[in-house]
Amino acid sequence: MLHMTPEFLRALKRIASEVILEPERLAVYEADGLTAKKQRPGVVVIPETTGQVQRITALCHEHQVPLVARGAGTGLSGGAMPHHEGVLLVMAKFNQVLAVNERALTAVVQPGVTNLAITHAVEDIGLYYAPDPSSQIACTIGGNVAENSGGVHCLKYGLTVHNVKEIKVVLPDGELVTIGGPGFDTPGYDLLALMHGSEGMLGIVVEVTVQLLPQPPEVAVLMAAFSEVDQAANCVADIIASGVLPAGLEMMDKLAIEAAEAFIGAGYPTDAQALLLCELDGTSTGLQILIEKVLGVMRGSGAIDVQVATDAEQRAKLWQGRKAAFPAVGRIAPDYYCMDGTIPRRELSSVLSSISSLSNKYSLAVANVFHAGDGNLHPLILYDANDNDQLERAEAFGSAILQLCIDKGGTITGEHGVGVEKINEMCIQFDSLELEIFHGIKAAFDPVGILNPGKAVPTLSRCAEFGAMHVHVGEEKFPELDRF
Amino acid sequence: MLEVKDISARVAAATSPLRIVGGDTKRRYGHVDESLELLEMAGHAGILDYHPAELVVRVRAGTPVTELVDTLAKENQVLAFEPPVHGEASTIGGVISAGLSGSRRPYAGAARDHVLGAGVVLFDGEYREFGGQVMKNVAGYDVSRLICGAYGTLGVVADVSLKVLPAPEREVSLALEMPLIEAQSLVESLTRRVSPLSASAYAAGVLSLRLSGLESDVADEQLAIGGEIIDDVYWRQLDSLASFQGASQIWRLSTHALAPVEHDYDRMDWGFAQRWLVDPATAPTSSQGHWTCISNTSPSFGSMSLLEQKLHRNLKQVFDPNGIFNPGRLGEGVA
Ligand SMILES: Cc1cc2nc3c(=O)[nH]c(=O)nc-3n(C[C@H](O)[C@H](O)[C@H](O)COP(=O)(O)OP(=O)(O)OC[C@H]3O[C@@H](n4cnc5c(N)ncnc54)[C@H](O)[C@@H]3O)c2cc1C
Repeated sequence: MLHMTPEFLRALKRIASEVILEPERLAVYEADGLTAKKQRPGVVVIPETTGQVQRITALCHEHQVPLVARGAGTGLSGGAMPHHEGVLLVMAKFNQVLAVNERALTAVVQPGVTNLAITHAVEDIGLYYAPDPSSQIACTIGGNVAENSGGVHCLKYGLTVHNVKEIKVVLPDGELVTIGGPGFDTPGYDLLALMHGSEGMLGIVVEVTVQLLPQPPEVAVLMAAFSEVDQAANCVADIIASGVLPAGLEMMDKLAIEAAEAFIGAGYPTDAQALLLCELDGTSTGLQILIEKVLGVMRGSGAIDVQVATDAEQRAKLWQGRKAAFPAVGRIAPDYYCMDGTIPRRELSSVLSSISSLSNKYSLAVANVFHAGDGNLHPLILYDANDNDQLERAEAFGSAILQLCIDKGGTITGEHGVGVEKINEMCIQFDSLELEIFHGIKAAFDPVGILNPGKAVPTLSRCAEFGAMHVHVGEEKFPELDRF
Repeated sequence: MLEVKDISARVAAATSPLRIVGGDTKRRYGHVDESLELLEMAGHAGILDYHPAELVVRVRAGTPVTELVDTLAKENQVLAFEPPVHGEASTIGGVISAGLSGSRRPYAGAARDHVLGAGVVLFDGEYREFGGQVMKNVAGYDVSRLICGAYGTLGVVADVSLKVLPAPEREVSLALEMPLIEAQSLVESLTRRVSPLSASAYAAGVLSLRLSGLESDVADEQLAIGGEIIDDVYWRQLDSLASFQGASQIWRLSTHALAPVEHDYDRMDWGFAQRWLVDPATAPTSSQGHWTCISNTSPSFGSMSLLEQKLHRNLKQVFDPNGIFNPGRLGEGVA
């Protein structure tokens, strides 16, 4: 591979005003939200215009220098972890909402705009942007597209891919392409869907047109506490089976409840083994009907305590504990490791009980707080990163959870992406035939392999080494992708 | 009964291109080479897995759409994208491969939005699975959505996993005679707030609407809107394009709802975002959106940029390096 020659760095400085090379300033960008994986970037560039992004990308392409895009760096799978001999492209200055089309219910935004800023820009006219990752104050829409992020409201309103109409993308050779459009479809392959969740491997997103929704007239949050985890898990399935589609349906277990209570005091019953938070929305008459129906299901499932919050303040209070659950768990252990497997809902109770057994096996505590309605688990494994043995156990525990999700017919990642974190588990979920196609897709966009090398899709030889797949060395179909 | 291994064997042995067909009801979409050897998928039929409480169904591609819809109806569930049925023989594999959605599209999402996973037989005859049966899945590139709308040019879709939803408690369809401008503003105002609107079409001075949802919400809205009640079957007929039968060219404009009305359209639906012209004197153009021509003799899909074309050719090369799957269907130089 080629290095960042002095000539390359001079050319880079001619393109962008903000080029960072000082080691202490580079250190800031060592990791994303997955702090266990660190890598000092070769150089950080903070461009301001699409033209600059095009020229930087073309330059990297010409010099075969790795290029990693970074939004807010809240990713939890190391997707934005830098390359030590490459460029980290920080999109922070792309922070403008360019246009709001109130009649078409769309907003055109730059990729560095935070998720919540979109809703803030349109809430006065009664609109909002539906996907709402818990990190929404910080994470960017560019990162959301790259990860196909979800959130509490995705059960009813869909993931990022369902709420984006058009994106502008700089391809690895510096060309700018528009994907999607203002209508409901475009001719040919669904490149818009393909770009979602592609983890910065196929192109740099420089503009996003999102679909906005009218705010629901009435909203309620129901909280149900259970003395058995099983009952809560079964209640999730029962609510869905009752024909109600909640706007959100989240679950927390005892450790998560206690941590959240200690942190913000949302009023959760700390003697419960599990609780469910269920958001319902609709018209005023409609909402009453839904509330009655769900309350009936909750009681029928054995809830020991139920609360209904309809005014905004009470609702916010109930949600607060859930939204702050990650930092709350962060206070009770030096580090936590967040998993993201997704399973069929009917397996919830059996998988939660297996996770609890694994917790004993690896002697590490685990808190569960997750998108139950989607079957999207977020076990938070508590450990101390300064203790190497604990770090190793945490990683082994995480891997065992992912294996469990695959065994139950699920997936290793519902919304956080593969990044560097779950690259080995990709070898379990997919066989070499499927991985070959993924490498092919990568090569169709990025034949030289400059974008985010080494992430998201394992090379076949890596899988062979990991022991999950049998490949003869030299049999890889797109060997050029491994060049970095 | 056609098994996956039979499909694999056919593909692996193919020395010349194949024309993949379900019910062969979409022959007028894209360039079809009638001389090609047929790979008929209707024999690969049946529901593989259906757990109503999971809101997921996994089904073989050759299953007739009507059979699938009826099975779901027994559990009071629906495919929310409302697959258009272009004839009894129409298969779910065909609908997904063509990426077609019905009247509910603007209000409930497209076919691709309901695809959770797919099993496909690719160039080497090998069966591969992408996506899965769970609601959220970002492991690997989203191949299962990519094959939706690819018209079989990437591979043979053997089975798909689809997200299903509870059927609305109540539905009512209404017809209102009104001028275009009023119809546009009524639909816009219903879209601007949360409403039970689930379909809209404007033709010959009549606006047709469908309301779906809770009994009380539908009743309230119906009272506010007025109009005359029509049979819900209207939408199924509309989506089947039955009223355009016999036309030699059906032109479809996909645009946005507020785009200027530049032609005397035979129908506008999807909240004015989908517009139809039957046998126009000359090929229509428009300032916004793209046209598809559905025709036996001169079919075409909307044009795309040179860069998009290049990406299409590259992807086609990955999935179908020998060019055996429906070559040319999406147009020359594309796939
Ligand atoms: C406390 C906490 C809670 C979270 N909760 C959720 C949640 O509820 N749901 C959820 O889905 N996620 C959640 N996340 C994960 C994370 O916030 C999301 O993945 C988010 O989308 C990342 O956005 P970002 O701007 O921080 O991207 P980054 O972390 O900077 O980057 C993520 C990936 O996107 C790529 N990328 C970034 N910008 C671009 C661009 N412009 N073009 C191309 N590629 C780009 C990067 O290369 C990288 O691969 C949470 C994270 C934290 C720390």
